[in-house]
Amino acid sequence: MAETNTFAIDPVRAFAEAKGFGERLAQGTKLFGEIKDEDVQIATTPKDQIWHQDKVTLYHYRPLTERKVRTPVLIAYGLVGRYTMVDLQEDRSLVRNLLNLGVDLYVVDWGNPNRADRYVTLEDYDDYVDECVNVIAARHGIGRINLLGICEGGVFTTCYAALHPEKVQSMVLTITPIDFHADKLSDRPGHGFINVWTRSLEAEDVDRMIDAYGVLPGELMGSVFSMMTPMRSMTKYNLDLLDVVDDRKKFLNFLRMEKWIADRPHHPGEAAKQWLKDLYQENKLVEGRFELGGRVVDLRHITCPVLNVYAKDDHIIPPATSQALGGKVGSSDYSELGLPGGHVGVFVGGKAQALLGSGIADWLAARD
Amino acid sequence: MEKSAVPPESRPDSADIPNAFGAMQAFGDMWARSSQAFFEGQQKWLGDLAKATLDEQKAAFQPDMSGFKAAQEAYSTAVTNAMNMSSALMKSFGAAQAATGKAETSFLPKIFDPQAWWVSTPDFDGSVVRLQEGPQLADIGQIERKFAAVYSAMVALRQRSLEHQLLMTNAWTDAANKFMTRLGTGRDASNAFTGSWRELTSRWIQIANDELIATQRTEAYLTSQRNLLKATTDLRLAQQELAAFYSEMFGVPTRAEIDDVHKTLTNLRREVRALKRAIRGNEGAHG
Repeated sequence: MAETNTFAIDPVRAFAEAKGFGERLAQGTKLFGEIKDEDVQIATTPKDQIWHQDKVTLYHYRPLTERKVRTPVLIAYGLVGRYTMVDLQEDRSLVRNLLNLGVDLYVVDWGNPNRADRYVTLEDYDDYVDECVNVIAARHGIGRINLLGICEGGVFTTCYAALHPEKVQSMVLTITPIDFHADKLSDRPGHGFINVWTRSLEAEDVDRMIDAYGVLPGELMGSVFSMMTPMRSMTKYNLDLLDVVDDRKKFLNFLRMEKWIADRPHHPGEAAKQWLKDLYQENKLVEGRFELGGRVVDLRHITCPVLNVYAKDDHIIPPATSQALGGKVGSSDYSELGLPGGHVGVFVGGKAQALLGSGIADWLAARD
Repeated sequence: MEKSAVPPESRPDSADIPNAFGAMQAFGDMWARSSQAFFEGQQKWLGDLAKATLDEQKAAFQPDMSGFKAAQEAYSTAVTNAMNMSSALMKSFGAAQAATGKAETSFLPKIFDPQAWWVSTPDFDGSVVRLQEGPQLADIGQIERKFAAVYSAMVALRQRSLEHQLLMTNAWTDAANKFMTRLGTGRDASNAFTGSWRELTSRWIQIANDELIATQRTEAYLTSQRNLLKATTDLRLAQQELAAFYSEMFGVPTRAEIDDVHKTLTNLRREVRALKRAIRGNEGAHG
């Protein structure tokens, strides 16, 4: 059969698109001229610094309503990216949602590690979490607090709850990897690339990289994230921007997300080695072989109630890697909450806004 | 009308109906010329650097260039193949663009531009760019080895970059192949694409995304990534060793010395935290 080439563009629709494109471009040009960087603010919910050590700062959010959950909650984000994502903007803020539901909220900011933090380890971060817990507990005159861990911060809180069960009232984990090899259970294309990529490296590759840079560079992790959505990364500043450039609200939403993405702190060197080798490569946590400060992190020592929240379309932390915690903790009060959205979408997406905050607040209140 | 650079057998059948297969040559020619210039520039640069740093020690320190040359040749072949694939498509988009008054198709050349494909590949070490501007060589005495190590690391990084670019170019070419098939050409004419430019773009994005993600899972890609990371790291470490030599010469703290200080400081901080905990514990015990 002779080859024929019959692909065609509908001229009527093409003309309509051209007209719309021109109108968007005109509006976008106006907006670009009007909006300044200072107009793009994130993490604006008022809070006060109450403790500081080395590069670590603990903040207390000012209440927005009467307290309904008596036991305070400490939010611990990880070292890849910053906690500001959970308070991206007023109408997309887990922080505001929890505050409006009467939760007393604290957050720890890990600062901006650089090469001077080359030798900081995950044990040090366990110490910092302990210091934060002690400060909060002393302020409230209580012995235990609630923990809310996010991604690598969830690994921190998991380890803390296993090593210091006497100090934890209950624990909420969100998008937290526990079994770093459980990505193999999923055949969804594009999911779990970080797991695959780190396993393709030798341990000495990680060691030499840390020797060379002193840190796990924030830019490197940014590149890896971009690789995971290759075409989206390429079209973000043309097609995606064209979709929002004619609407001030959507445009500012876009810019706020960009502001958060651009904030890529470095990951301290020795801590990065543990993260990549002990956890991603050797999967020691779920296998009961992970040690901090010479003590084995035994998940069965987690005796507090646990709520494990995961994002159903999370390509960075595949759900199976989070759900692996089920059946491993020593607590009989273990529940899961799977929400629509991806790794970040579960926090900032429209669908999850009502579900995540109320899901966490209701669960905490029932165990307060 | 300008004389077409497209071969007669590749020219559109009609000015109104873009020919996806037959119209990529013009853009591909431009890409091929720039690629050739890039390769020639690299060869000249490497040659000049070798001459400047290893003139008297060439025999002893000349790195093995065979791998680099092989990578260059393989990449050049892949570039030619990709050029043949993309040139016809670019021509058809150009024709349609003229018909619609350059609507939102103005950005399409960028996402079909193989040079843009290169840009989307992450560059792990920007310090390589700085090295291309050339170190200022003051002495070539006892430090030839350190410079040779840097030079070898740079060549290795170039080789690994080319190998990775080759892999990615093949992935893009495969994606372009699949895209044209799905446009409803050839035997699949009954399912020919008809729609808007935006729908066409979305289809390309989906196909390219799937192909690139599938490529990321292959052993070849992961090996290439690892090699590239290793080459970048090796270069950086060779640079640091060279920097340490000069730091010592001029009495400036070296990286290793500063790392020692930071290690001591980190350990001291741990001890202070431990002491504070112990004191709190004692205070608690004594009420």
